Amino acid sequence: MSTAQVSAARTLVVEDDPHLAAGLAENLRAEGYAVDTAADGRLALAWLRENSCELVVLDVMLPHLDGFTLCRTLREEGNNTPVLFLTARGDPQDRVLGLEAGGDDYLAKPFHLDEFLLRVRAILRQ
Amino acid sequence: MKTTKVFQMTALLLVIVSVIQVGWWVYDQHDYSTQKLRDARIAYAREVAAAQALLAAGASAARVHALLPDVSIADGGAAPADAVDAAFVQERHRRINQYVWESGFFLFALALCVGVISRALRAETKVLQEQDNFLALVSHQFKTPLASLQLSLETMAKRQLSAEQARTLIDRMLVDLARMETMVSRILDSVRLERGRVDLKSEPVELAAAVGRVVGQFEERARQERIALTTDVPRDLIVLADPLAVDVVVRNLLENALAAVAAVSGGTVTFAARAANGEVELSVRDSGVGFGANDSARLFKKFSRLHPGGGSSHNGTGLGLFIVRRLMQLTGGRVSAHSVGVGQGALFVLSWPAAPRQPV
Repeated sequence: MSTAQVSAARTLVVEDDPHLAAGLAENLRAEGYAVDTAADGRLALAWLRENSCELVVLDVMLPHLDGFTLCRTLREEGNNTPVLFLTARGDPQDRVLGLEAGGDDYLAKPFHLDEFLLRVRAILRQ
Repeated sequence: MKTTKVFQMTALLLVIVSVIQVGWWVYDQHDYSTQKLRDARIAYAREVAAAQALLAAGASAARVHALLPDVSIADGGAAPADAVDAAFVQERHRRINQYVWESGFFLFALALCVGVISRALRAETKVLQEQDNFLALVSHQFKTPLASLQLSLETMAKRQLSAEQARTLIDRMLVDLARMETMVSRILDSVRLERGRVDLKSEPVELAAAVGRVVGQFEERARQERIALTTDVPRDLIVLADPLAVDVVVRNLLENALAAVAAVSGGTVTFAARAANGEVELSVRDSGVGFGANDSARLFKKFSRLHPGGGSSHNGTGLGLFIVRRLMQLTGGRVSAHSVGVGQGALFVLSWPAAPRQPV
């Protein structure tokens, strides 16, 4: 069953705001995904070099290593894990930067939970 | 930015046109006066010739002198008077001097005007730039707690939650609201302080008690973030300051120190105080991210954030230290910041005038 496959997907939430990280993780788990979280860019990069997942939800303004750089580094290292940027920087320029850095989708904060979950599902279906 | 460009072009054009105009004016005046002088000299030469002719025709020297008083008559002949000739030369010098000074002054005044206007314009541009930064920053700083609030509320609307889960979400929302409230009050404080619209008292404040009150409110947070928070403030230190201002200043420095230490996953924050030269010094030392030696002046500027993209100021408004410095200035105190370098921790020192000893 395709839904079961999608639901088993493993995701990494990279977000330094503890409330947002917790809220996102809870909702992703409620949808049946497995969720790991990282509170800064360096930790996230280390995790991604050691582990694999089907989706990274990535904030841009992060301690130690920003989301754009993190994503670019992943792509340079040949890691093609889908990345959904989730950030307060919602300008068109920032969106372009995010997609140029190798992001697959871009959602500006504040966002709607339903939209977020639909985008996650869409990326995982691809 | 576009208006500045237009202004620069206009100013340049104005200066060029004015310089050409002044040049032309000086040239024209010079030409005119040279002409005038030459005419005067010719007229004078004619007077001398006329006097000579009159003398030759047999007119008496007294008669000729009465008719042409400027011509010197001696030994039966007419000659130009030395004084008149000297007057011509002097007049010529006077005029040249006048042109040099007048045109010089005019150009100086013009340059001064352009300078003053462009300075004002640059200041204006800087203010606009700051306001732009401010808006970008404020919107960004508000978006994170807003996103968190929205997520919590939509989660409550979407999911069936236990009472305990609901309680967790409500607590999160209350904290997010408190964060936004802090930001709003800091923004208002900084605006008021900047315009000097505050009514600050100057009264004896017991430092140990003031620091203790603030520290007490942060002990829980320090414990959670694995930060050892210690205070060593002697009880007998009394400063002359505004009690509310002391509270705000100590609170802002403590929040900064906690954020700086949390960014390096734990460490120490230490308050210490001593009396020195009629002043009382309170130092706040942390083992956090610190800052570069060249950044200590920039720290206190409005909206300056030394760690873009994270670090200690991630949740900051860029206003905390600006407020600290302004409050210290307004209450007759000082604040200074020291750090050996990034990653080396930081030391902030507040100094207030000591209150005169009084029997209690």
